[in-house]
Amino acid sequence: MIDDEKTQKPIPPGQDQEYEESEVNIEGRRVTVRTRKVPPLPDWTKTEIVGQPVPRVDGVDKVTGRAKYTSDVQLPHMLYAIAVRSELPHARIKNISIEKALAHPGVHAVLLPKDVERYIMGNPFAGTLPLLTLEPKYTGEEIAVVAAETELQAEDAARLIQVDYEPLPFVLDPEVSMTDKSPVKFFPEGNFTGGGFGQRKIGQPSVHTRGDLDVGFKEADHIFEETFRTEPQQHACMEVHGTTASWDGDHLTVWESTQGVFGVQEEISRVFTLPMNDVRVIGTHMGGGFGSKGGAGKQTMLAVLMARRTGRPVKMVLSRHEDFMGVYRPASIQHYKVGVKNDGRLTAIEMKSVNAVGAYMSGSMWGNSSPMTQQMYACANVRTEDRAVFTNTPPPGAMRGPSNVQNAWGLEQLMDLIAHKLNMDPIELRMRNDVKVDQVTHQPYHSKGLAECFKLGAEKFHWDEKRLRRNDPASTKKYGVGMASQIWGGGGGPPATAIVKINQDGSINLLTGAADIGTGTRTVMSQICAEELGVAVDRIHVTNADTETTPYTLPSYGSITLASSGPAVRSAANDAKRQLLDLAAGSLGVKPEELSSKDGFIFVTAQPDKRMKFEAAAGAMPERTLVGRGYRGPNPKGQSLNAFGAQFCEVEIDIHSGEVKVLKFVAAHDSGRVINPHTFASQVKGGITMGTGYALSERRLIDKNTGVPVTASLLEYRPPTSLDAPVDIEVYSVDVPYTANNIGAKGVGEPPLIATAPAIANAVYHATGVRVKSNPITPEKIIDGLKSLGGRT
Amino acid sequence: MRAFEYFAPQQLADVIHTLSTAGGNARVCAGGTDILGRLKDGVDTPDKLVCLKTLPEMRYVRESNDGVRIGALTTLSTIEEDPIIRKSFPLLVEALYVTAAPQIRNQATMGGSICQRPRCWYLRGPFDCLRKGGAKCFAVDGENKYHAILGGHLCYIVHPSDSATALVALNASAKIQGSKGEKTVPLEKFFVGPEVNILKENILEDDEILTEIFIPTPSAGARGAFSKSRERQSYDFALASAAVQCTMKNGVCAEARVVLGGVAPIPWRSIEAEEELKGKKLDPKTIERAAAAAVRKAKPMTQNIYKVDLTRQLLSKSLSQIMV
Ligand SMILES: Cc1cc2nc3c(=O)[nH]c(=O)nc-3n(C[C@H](O)[C@H](O)[C@H](O)COP(=O)(O)OP(=O)(O)OC[C@H]3O[C@@H](n4cnc5c(N)ncnc54)[C@H](O)[C@@H]3O)c2cc1C
Repeated sequence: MIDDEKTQKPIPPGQDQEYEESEVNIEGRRVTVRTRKVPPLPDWTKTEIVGQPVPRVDGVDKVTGRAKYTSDVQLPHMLYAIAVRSELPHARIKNISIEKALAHPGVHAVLLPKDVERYIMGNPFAGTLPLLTLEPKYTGEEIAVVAAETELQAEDAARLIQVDYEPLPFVLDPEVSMTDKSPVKFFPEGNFTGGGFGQRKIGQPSVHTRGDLDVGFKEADHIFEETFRTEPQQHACMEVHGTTASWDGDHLTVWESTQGVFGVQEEISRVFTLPMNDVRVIGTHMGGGFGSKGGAGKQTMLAVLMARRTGRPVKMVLSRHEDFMGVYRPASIQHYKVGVKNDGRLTAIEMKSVNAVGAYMSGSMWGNSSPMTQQMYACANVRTEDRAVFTNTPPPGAMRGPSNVQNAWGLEQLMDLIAHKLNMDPIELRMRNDVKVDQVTHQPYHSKGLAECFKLGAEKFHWDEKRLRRNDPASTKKYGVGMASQIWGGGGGPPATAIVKINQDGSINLLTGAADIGTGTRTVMSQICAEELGVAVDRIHVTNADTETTPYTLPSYGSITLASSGPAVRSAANDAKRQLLDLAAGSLGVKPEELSSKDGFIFVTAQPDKRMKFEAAAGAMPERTLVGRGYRGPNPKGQSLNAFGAQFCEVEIDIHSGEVKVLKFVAAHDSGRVINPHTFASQVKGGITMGTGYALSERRLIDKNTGVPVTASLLEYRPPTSLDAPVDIEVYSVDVPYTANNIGAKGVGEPPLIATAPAIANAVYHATGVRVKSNPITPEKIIDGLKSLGGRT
Repeated sequence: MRAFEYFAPQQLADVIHTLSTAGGNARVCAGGTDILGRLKDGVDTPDKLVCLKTLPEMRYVRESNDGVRIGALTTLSTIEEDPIIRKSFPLLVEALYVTAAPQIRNQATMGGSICQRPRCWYLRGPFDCLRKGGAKCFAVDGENKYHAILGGHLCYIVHPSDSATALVALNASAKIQGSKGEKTVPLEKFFVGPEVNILKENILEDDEILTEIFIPTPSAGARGAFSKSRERQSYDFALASAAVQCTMKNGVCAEARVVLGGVAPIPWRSIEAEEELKGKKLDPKTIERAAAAAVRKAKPMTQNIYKVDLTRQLLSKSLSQIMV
């Protein structure tokens, strides 16, 4: 995470000319960073490797099990650490007895709150978290940690630790917590604060306001008032959270399942006051993060401490059950009041949201659900209020498309509802409210391919035709179609550095700090490098996400990986190429500018048969190795960089069983240049699958009477299975040129999830007339909805 | 998982011996898809685990002139694919097809499927509930969306087994082996509600196991159907289900067995619905009456009112399938 203080660091004198300011938008948070000016590279006009469906460079390693994940790491004499977690949602701990646990075979050490209290995670801006606590504020909060030689011994020992609790009152429901009736007072000033990244103040919502609501509502021909609700969503990564820590003298190595090794390194180095060169964090392979692994976890710090205490390597990998008691996308309640003209133009939007953010300040950053309301549609009079309300639940965190996913559930259904009321095509309604300028920053969008997404998506889906189809009243199966659209950041930005090393045999090492969180980063970076050098992808070996061997880059969040690190990789490859061409120019007796590199040859551009093999040029390198460096340059000034998209879907509903089946999805996204159609489509299909779970089945539930989670398993939480994910997903990219960075790409990590759930909800409405305003759309809600429509079953 | 002693006997007699000397602290493990989860979650902590998979003689589907016998260790996928079963008991095949997922059906057994414990999240979680010998049922004023609308009594679990629902409709019976010998009971009598025993779902004693299921040959004109609703299309238990087996003569329903799943602590035979069907022409009116009768005595809790309509509709769906 970029800290605010860091963005204001003074620039050393004399270097000002080499640096300039650049805005970076991460998960909706805009920060300004200083960055090196980078000489521009010509746009790629015709590409040979970029844009090709290159198979994943690590695909075989993954499917054969050769790829090593954090949970695979086995070190000699390694111990296993397990946390003792609170059984109650709020309590004071009177006593912890550890004698029995310490006497248990194989047990090496127990850490208690007093042993770790001087190590605090987080920062004042983000909010801090104790590593272990004597006053747990949610069920599952860490109280102690035990390490033993086997996992089973550690588990047994954890059970033998006796914790005496004094139960304290607790509150789970944000709407109760906000009132005087709340049995818990989190802060003297109140139980809520503003949500999001702005300045937050306890007792006050965060507010965005423009224009005059009264004027706007007066102008309106229709006023809509609606409330939508979203449930918490859990990341449920294939690989659970985990760390393995090992000390070698004062040098620490940490294997971490993380989206960003450098953030973890910084946090460890800060919390334990260690020099950064003594903290090596490795996260080469990891099995999914979706925002939950943006930085270090508590288990990271606890494993490091336990390894220090015992003098042994320590592995602390959470169980699936523990994973489900942790981070998630917060729940929201969204109240809207919207004014609309007969022609569909929006005259006023008022939105108030309530977001349940757990018991700690850190959750409040994710406690807003209004960014799309502020930006998506042209409207002069807008006021949004976000309240991040404290509850005795775990701290939420970023999750794929944070805020916008919740917001889209409400806003995109609301647009559908308005379109139906005005008897207008929902696409037409959206186009009437299209806007070319970011209404929050007042900056124009660098590129906006939303209209193209509507057009292409509608055509491929046969929207016009399917939208007008009617159901057979006698049939017990109902069919319907729906669509929704989205906006997200994804422009990426500095800092990111890459290194390209050419070896004397012409083989290449690419060193990038970027994480590959399952998205295919390693593959697309190889393609970019290969394209620029003019060699085949298989000549390149990528080393990534290792703080000791790869240079700094921002973490893989906010859909920024490709657009941040990709341009740095291209620059590094270009730097290496220029150096090699300088050498080759001598051998070929021409000037370097006259040379090109392509298909493994370096040749005179005007006389292609005058050439030499790439490896021959490399073989002549006096230093036997050549190092190219590349930096991510600044983003263009005064522009907003965003990715857009539209999704269309068709559903089938069995009115007897209430089951909803998603038959088809068509997704059209504007993400600039597609580097690899395979990995692009994977992102979109994965997003739609995740969105289908959000729409139809996933539900995290904490028992209202005891505060204990009852859905802490893959069975009860119900992520979609292969039979629930739509089989037929068509993925399209609209070809809208994007020139804000040297590879022409913006992100597609989060965008494909944002429109999915509301598109499904809109299709359900179209099929049945039932408007389901709270997710998930379960058989219960269909049955109840049909019943209240009367006589349709 | 807490440590336990593991037995892999070669003979049924050894199983029974180990069980009868364990003082209630042994569990049998067949496919393990249910029991291992309970052990790992720490909600069941036996001292001994007796593996049945090493017994050679309990895997079979055998046809005789009065019906079909299924050994308790036969896997669900074997049953589902068996030509005799497919021909004579499409109702059972349908129920198996929507049970869990293929991977689980490859491993899960007939006996385990019938003897699996309920999925109530309080029973399976860190709650000292009635069914675990505790003081109260947490579902009563708690999260009871998935709980019983029929047959609840102090405890409101629902029986999780789809195959049991189908088998009771097929009038199956269960063969039981224990230290006192062997006996056979109608499967319907095998299950017991909380009013009989709040700690378990069936009549098995600590030293007894289920060895075989017998399904009588259906009479001519018999037709069956199974409908289930769930929140996702695989790996999910029934919100409600309806198994129906009718003997049709000239469009008239001569005999009918109606069993509801996911709504009661045992596979719930609806005599009320059966009465509405018997001797009647199976038409939409009859179907509606039977479906309404099935849920007339339903007592929904705070969060499962929807199950009443859902059950009625699923029963209509099954009956409509028989009608056509
Ligand atoms: C993710 C998931 C989804 C599922 N979905 C469904 C579903 O949709 N529908 C459904 O019906 N089921 C479902 N199940 C449950 C599944 O059907 C059962 O777990 C399985 O049938 C149990 O069979 P098993 O052989 O593995 O039993 P085991 O796990 O070995 O045993 C289960 C229980 O029965 C006892 N037992 C086993 N055999 C005997 C015997 N011969 N005599 C006496 N006692 C015995 C054991 O002691 C144990 O208590 C699901 C399970 C999972 C894990």
